Amino acid sequence: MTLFDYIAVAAKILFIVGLAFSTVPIMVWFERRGAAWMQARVGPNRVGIFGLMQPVADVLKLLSKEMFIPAAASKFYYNLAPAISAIAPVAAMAAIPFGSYLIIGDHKVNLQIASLDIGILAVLAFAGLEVYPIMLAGWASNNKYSMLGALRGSSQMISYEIALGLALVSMLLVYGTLDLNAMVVYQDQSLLGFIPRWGVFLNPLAALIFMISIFAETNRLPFDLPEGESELVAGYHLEYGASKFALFFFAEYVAMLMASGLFITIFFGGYGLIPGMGWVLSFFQTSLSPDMFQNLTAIAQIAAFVFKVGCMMFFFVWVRWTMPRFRYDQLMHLGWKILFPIALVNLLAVALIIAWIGV
Amino acid sequence: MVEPVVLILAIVVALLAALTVFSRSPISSAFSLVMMMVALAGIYGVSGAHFIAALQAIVYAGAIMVLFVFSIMLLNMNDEHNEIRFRSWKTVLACLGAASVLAGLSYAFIQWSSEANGPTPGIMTLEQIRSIGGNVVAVSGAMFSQAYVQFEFISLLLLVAIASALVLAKRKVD
Amino acid sequence: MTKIVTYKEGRLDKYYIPALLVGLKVTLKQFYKTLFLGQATTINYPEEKREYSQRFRGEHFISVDPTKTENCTACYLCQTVCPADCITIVAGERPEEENPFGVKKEKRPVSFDIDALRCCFCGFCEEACPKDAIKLSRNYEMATLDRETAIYDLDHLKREVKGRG
Repeated sequence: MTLFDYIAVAAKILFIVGLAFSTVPIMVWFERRGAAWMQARVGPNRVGIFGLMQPVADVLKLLSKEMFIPAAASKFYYNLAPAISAIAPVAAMAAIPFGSYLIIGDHKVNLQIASLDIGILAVLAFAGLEVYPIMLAGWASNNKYSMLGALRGSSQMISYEIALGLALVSMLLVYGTLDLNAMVVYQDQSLLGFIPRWGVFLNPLAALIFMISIFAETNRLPFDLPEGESELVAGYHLEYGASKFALFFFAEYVAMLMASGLFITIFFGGYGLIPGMGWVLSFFQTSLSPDMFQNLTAIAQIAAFVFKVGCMMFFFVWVRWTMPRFRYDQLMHLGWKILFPIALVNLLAVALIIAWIGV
Repeated sequence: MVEPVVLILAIVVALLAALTVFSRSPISSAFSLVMMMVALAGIYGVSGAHFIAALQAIVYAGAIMVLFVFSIMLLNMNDEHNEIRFRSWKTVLACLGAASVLAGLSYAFIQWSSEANGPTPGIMTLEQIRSIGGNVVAVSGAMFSQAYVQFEFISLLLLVAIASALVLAKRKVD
Repeated sequence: MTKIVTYKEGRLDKYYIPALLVGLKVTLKQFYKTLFLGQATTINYPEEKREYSQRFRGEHFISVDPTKTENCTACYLCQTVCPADCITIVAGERPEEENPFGVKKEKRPVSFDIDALRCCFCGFCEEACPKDAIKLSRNYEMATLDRETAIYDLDHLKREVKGRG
């Protein structure tokens, strides 16, 4: 690796971490104001213009508070849990491509931190580690509500990982690759000439199952039973305060960001241009050199990626303030007796169709 | 010969394995095992076997160990049950078992390494894997052609295990 | 008038998803209304204030005549009727020059204290007063920083107030 490669990788890491760190405050703000707007309220509008500085104030408050450890907690795991919870989703985002490639000088820079041929499995591997912070936090706090939250969280995440995995496998059959970049390239064609060949149009059922499962995986309403306020106070992060709680808070939104990125990469064309953007870009094709045009396209792709992720994040918030929370047996019923069989049948159907007519 | 990253990861794996055996609380034991799995996945990843690394992390760290930790948390084991008594016959038996597994693995590894000149089924260099078309193709090719019967038998075994677990659990409820 | 909405469960409702879509539509509609049409029901309190009805019973005051003499004649009716026992009056004789309008008010309150922390805002004092002297205004911003300020003396009660005259 040359110095240029190191700088390129560092810049990409900075971009992803920066995206995470800038998305979280905006999402915290939007979660509160969006909730208010959906409930005919105004929401926090005092700190800064439109209340945009509200998350900054929240974070300052959390960081300046006392670092508290409950007397009966097991200290090491109590402190470890928030760290893992923040690291795992950020690490998973390393494998998600956010653009095709830039041409700087005579170098080609892939807009993806880790270009792995098994990209999707790497994302799943890190996302799978997200169970541990919940379990550890619940167990190490030595509090019965935390413990119940941890048990709920871990069993819920295991259950929905199965439906998620099966929906994913059916899409892998369609794409015939584990490489997220190749999936995006596959989806960049058009289907029947007028709609983009996105996974959601090829296999809408898998998209639905995948979407429901990522809501359960990220512990968002209507599946936020691990922290169900009304019965478990705050669930697994009940005993956490100050900056450790801030880390859990951060982790929740980064996990949402990661899940949205994965979802749009598989089902909504990833960084592929939104219909219409290609038409606008074609005006510049003649006036720019091919390299510069590629760079412009890459920037447009990054914009498309951010826009799609933004829409998905809006959907997360929208659903959160619409749906009531599930009861636990209903959750398990939905996961095991409805989503799991549907995902299996869907997988079989996709396999048969591919065997008959090919991709 | 050995990359420094692999060496560091190997030391970490060994330390975590020792911690798994010798730690007092069952949770920290299980969690050391999880971390060991992740570090092992790191070794695979650094060695170029990304597919195996991801599977190691997903299957062992992400699924199986979650169930382990889950059941340990539910059972709420006390510390009195896991004192290590070095003189009991169980410990001796366990050590003998571990030693025989280690011996078998080392024997197999030495055999394979010495035969590296000739084409041995199951051993591939990174270049060979790349020429086939990646780790996934190599593993699935081996799994569904060379080791097809074994693979089916293992899936049958798992099915039997699930069915018997269900039967055992059901009897208790009635 | 409450609108009664009846809904007959159809066949589609068994599949849960149509119901979810209906819910999503409702929240999105409200989102649009609040954000773009400004239909929030919130009152931005310190800047905007809620307009209460004419009958609202808030902070007390004692009405005065044009020479700023209080109308109260220290008859003790309000003190007697007060269920919370929060009015304390000390009566005294009123100087002649304070009655320029021919209406002779011989007694006057030397001190007139209302303990607003005890008051239950029932308005009985207002009902009992024969001179329409003690009244409850529509002012509801009565928070104080210490207890002493919440005990109103005669000077405080005689201040100019907007509200019910």
